[in-house]
Amino acid sequence: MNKKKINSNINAASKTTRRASENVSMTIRESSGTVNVLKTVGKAILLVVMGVFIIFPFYYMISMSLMDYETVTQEGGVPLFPTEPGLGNYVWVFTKGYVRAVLFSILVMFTNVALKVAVCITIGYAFAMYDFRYKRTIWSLLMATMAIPEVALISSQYDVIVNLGLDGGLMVLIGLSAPFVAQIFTIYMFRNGFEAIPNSVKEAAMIDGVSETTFFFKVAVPMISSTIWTVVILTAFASWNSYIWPSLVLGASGWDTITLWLFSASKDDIAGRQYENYQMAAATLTIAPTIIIYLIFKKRIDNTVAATGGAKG
Amino acid sequence: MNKKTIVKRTQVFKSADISTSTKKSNKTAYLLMLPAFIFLFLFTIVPLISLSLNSLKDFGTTLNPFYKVITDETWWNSVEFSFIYAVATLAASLSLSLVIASALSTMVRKRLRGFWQTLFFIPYVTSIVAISVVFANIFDQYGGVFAKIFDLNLPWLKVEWGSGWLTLFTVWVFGVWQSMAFQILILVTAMLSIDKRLYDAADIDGISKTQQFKKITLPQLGKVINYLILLGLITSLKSFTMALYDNEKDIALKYAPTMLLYIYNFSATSHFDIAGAASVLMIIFVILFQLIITKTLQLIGYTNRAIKKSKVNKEQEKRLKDELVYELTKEIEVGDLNE
Repeated sequence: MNKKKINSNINAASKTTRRASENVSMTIRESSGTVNVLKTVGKAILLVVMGVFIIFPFYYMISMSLMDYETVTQEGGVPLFPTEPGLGNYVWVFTKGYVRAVLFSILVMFTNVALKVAVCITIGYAFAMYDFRYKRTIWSLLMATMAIPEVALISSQYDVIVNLGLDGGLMVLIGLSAPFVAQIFTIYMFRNGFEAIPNSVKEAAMIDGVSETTFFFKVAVPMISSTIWTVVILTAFASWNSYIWPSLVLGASGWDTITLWLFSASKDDIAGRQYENYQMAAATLTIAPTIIIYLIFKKRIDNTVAATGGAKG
Repeated sequence: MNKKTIVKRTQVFKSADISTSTKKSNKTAYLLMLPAFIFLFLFTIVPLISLSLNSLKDFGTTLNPFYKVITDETWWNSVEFSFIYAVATLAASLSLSLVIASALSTMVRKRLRGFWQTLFFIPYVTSIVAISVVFANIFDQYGGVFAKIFDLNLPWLKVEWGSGWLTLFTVWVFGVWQSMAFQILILVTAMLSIDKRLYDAADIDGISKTQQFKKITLPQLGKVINYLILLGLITSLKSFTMALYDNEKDIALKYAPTMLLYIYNFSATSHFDIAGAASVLMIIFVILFQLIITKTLQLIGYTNRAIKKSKVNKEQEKRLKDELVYELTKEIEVGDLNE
């Protein structure tokens, strides 16, 4: 048996070294007995335990969202299974302006994505394609601002928003996006993307006498579409899930992004307290769209996050 | 194509090349940069300056915002809580992520790996606010999971910072839950990109799997791990616990104070000077912390060692190529080598 395997290995070795090495390791894996089995079992247990840890909050959320107020507040704690599941909570929070919050969040998301892409792509293009005075100095200054923890600036950024009148009316859409628009990391990604366009393409365009604008829109931008996708995906998720800035800006404006709606929808109008069963239904409705989108675009998103090392805006 | 046209083309190209680096295009470049500079000026430079100026007013007196902040016990509670939380969360989540990622990357069946990867990644796309509310309910003193199953009525989230560690523990569990997703994805991607032949060579040399993890996987991952350490600590320092307390900032500040929450609290109540001083302190702390981590990581020499190791591994790789055929033709019982 072993002899046969080795013989086949010899054959493989004569073909390519790589192939052979794979076969060797296979043989080794097969031949080391109980220790490996134990290790596999150990791994499986670890994965299952950690998997339950990750999934449990989602299960608990959905299970609790199907219970009524009496069940949720009964003596001895919330049951782990909904014995008489109902969709009452969903109906309640849905009528508390879910559609309005979703639409508003989508509007904010579009503003955010459009502004960020437009602003960062142009400066990235300038740095990749032009030579100008103080280019290096300006670039290193830009990079230096990355060290500032931008969240620490919120108080003063809010002050700026208020002074510019971006905290009300339609302008609030810009106000909600403004601090995140010129993101150094995004600029950096666009610069890299444009610089990766081979010189031959630029030369060819020049020889053909293509105008600057045409080159930008018809040649350069399509060539960095994967970078654009990355920025769009990350910005869209960050915008949908954003919370601190919108809660500061929107305050008492009457408009809610989805994360703020979560609290206003589960609030009792008179007593002003939060109802847990409503909260869970609202949380489900907040989370569901992102998970569905993630599952649909899984491959693209995985690659995006892995490639960029993840930038949450 | 004859010589003439080539010459002509280079000429055209040269003239085009010159035209792009003249003054005219300088203008275009500045114009293209303008929008970004406007936003940076308004939302980074102006805030930074106004924060610094604000926090310096009435300097030397007890009215100075800095003075107010550094004599405020709540501020130091927030600093303490944020730092302990950041370090503890990183330590736990990164070690767990390493183990999980190594289990995932050695998984042979691709579909199975895909399933687990998706499962572990889902927290990353999940709204932290929404899931905060769920955690708050899971850890509810009387209605939560522990009360239900174990009859354990602990005030998980309701122990004031300064009089016990339970709240920090609960927030930490939540922090680990949040942080693992990104770390696992990055680690699995990095581990899968390590050359398989290194492990095969090690197998032949009879090196155990644990040793292989220490000697091959970790050094090869050096850079990635450094990055995850830095990013993880900085992200956790910016944690914001308000959503765990039904959006009530005062309550959150009492039980689970964080620096960002402190700043938020004073911004929302229009005390911009105090918020400003705290912000300046936070910026200094974070940048200092960042420097310390980077220096420490350099001292430990993870990166350096990784570079050395990878050189050794390249030699090992070459040796492998030569030796493998030799070893095999000698009909050595490979199975024995592994024991």
